[in-house]
Amino acid sequence: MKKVSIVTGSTACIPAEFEHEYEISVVPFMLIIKDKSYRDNIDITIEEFYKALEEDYAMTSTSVPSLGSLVEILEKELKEAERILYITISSTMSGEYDAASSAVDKLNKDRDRIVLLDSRMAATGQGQIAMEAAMAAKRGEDFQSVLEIAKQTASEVKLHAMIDNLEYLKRSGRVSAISALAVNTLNIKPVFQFIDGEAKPVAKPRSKKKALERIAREAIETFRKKGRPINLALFHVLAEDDAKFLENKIRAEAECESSFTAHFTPVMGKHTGPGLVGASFY
Amino acid sequence: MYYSIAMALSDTRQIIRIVVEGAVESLHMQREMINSLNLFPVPDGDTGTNMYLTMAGGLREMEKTPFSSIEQALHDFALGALKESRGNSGVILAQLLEGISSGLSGPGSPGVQELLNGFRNGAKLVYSAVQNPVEGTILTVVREMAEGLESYGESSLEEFLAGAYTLACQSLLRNRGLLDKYTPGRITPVDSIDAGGAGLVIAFEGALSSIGIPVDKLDWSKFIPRYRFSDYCGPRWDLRFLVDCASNKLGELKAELNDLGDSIVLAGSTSPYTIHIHTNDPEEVLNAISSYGSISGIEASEMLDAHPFSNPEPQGKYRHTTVIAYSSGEGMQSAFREMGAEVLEIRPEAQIEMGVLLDTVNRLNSASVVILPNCPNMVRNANDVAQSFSGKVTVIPTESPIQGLAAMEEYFDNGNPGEILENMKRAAAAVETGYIVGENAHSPDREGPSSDNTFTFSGRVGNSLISEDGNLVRVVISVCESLRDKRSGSALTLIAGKGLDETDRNEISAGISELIPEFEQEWYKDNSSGWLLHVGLE
Repeated sequence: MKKVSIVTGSTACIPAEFEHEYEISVVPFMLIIKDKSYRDNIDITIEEFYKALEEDYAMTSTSVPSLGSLVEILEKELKEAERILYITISSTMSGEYDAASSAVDKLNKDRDRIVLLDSRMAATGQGQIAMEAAMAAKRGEDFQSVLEIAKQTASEVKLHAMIDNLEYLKRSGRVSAISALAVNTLNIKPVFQFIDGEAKPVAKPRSKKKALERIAREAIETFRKKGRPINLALFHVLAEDDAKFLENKIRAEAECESSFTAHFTPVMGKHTGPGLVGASFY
Repeated sequence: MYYSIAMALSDTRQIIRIVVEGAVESLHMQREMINSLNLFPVPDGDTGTNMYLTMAGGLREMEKTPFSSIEQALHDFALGALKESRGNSGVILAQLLEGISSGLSGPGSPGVQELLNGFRNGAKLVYSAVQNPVEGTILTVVREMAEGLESYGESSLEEFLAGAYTLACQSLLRNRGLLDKYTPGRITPVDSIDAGGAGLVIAFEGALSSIGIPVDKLDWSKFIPRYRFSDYCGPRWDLRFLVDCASNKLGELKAELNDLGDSIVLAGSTSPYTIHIHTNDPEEVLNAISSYGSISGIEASEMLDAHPFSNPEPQGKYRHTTVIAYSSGEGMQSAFREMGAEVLEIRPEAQIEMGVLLDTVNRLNSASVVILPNCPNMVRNANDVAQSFSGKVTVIPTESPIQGLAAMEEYFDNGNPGEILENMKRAAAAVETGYIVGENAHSPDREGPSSDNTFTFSGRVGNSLISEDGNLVRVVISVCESLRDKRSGSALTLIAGKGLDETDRNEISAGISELIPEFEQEWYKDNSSGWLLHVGLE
């Protein structure tokens, strides 16, 4: 039996190969199209979901994992590990943490074996926290050590993203500050940063290129401040070329200890729309 | 000689009374105007009122005693003014009156020499009454008037008095602006005149007019400040009281007062002495000074009670940081608004009136303000305002609207204000800018350029003239190449002014694409007429 099992939601955007390599258990969020539910990244492809989104925005929605699926996954992991560390998306962004708490409550005698960690992060930032914790778990470190590593990574990781089309975000109502932005005259591509568990606009460059360069600058500065290679993750919504451009910009001036590119989960992509590109790093 | 002025009047008492009433009435009539000039030491807008009440107090005292002589009447007048003195200027005015009164004492009827002596005494007294004399105030007016009057020793009384008035006016105007620097933490006035000095001139004006001495009146409306103060940062209380103190303790008392407040005036030639002080703790002052003698006549008022310049009510939602962007054309004004800035409209080659900018800053419901001048000529103007607000206002010296836009890209009112400000500064500095203007010697009324050779276009980067040519595209390309030499960027922003039409834009765009293909162009339209094209590379 493993000492520690790492569980996280599909919002962590962990590529399938790393799920297996690091033995991370990923709980799928739900995508709902015309009253039919699909498990994120399992029952529907990204392209299919965005096609449906474009056709009829109002008929698509997203949902936290069902209580049943959460209990099921936790019960399964409890059989394979002494303790579970469940790393959720920022509780300010989703009800996953609450749903997971309810699921843990239903596990009665085993509830103390599970610890929930609000990552205060999302996307690959959340994924990198889970991956660091999973690596520690795989090394055989005890639960407390794994938890500390997860917390330490959560305190260090930064996430910036550029929105290509503000309409989706405006419709979602997810980022109130966005209402202050108008894009009638200017070709603004706002850059958001995860700050205190929330995505906040930090810059409004007047072109996509400038926005990507702004994100790259943040990663490069992190590299320079830390004085060591950074761990880099890129994500995008149907914008692979832009993600590659961003990666190249960063790598041109910053050394990377690790790097991967992930598809931004449609669970959040519904609110950002296609064209989103971002990076998380620490 | 002295009485020749008033030969038509029936008695001396009446002359004195008319003169004093003329001065009091003049102050009464113009006290609000004097209040509006009040900038120093505290912009509490009460100088006119205080000087009027001081003089009125003197008049009341003078009327209490049956008239026996000019000397006695003026002595009573000065004593009453001292007793009823209000504020710094009132106390100083009372000191001057006491000095003049003392000069008149002596055998015989007072004449020019006695008055001259009185003004000398008055000048000494007013300086000795103030702990830290500041030039440019009523003190300077009194001193320069007394100094100037030395040359009137042989004049007629009428000439002497008219000369005193003229000297006071000249001093007031000559020292205009000396007090501007003494308003840290508030809005800096420009070329201000001292309200106390003005009050003295106005009192003189009334006195002389009452006995038929002609005076050239100043147009006071020219001197009224056009703008308001941000806030008052000094002591809260204006405290005045009398202390019955032994004269050999005065030095010690003055030293102690220095530690208790500012704008200190210690007046009176004999005990009880009048003390005026601005302090945050009146009780502390009274406790400390009570050890020097009994205290009476305590009056305390809050400094801003009667302030006519109370801040305008801030408008709009509160923001940590608000950006004011200068802009001349509708296109850029709209762009800056979309980026979240407050826009202040400017006209090419014209400065923004300080008062307008000050009012704009004051109206903002914001803890801090950032100004983007967006024009080289406006940077100094903005800096002048920033200095007046002691830290509240920061100027990012943007010399082009493109630098302003770059700064705005980093502006959000939702994070660490210091960090955001640094990002804005960095973004503005990361843009190299140039501009193109066009001249048409043959058709001066025509606003726009064309490809014909009657136009001469000139392109500048900073202060350097990069190119002059009859071909607009060539000039733009030269400017772009110059920018490329200075900055390793590829994002090229172009703002087309009113005189640039669609054809010009297309030609320029095609020219850049062909000759500098690595530049990614971002075009904006403005309707400004002072230039044809702004170009910025980042």
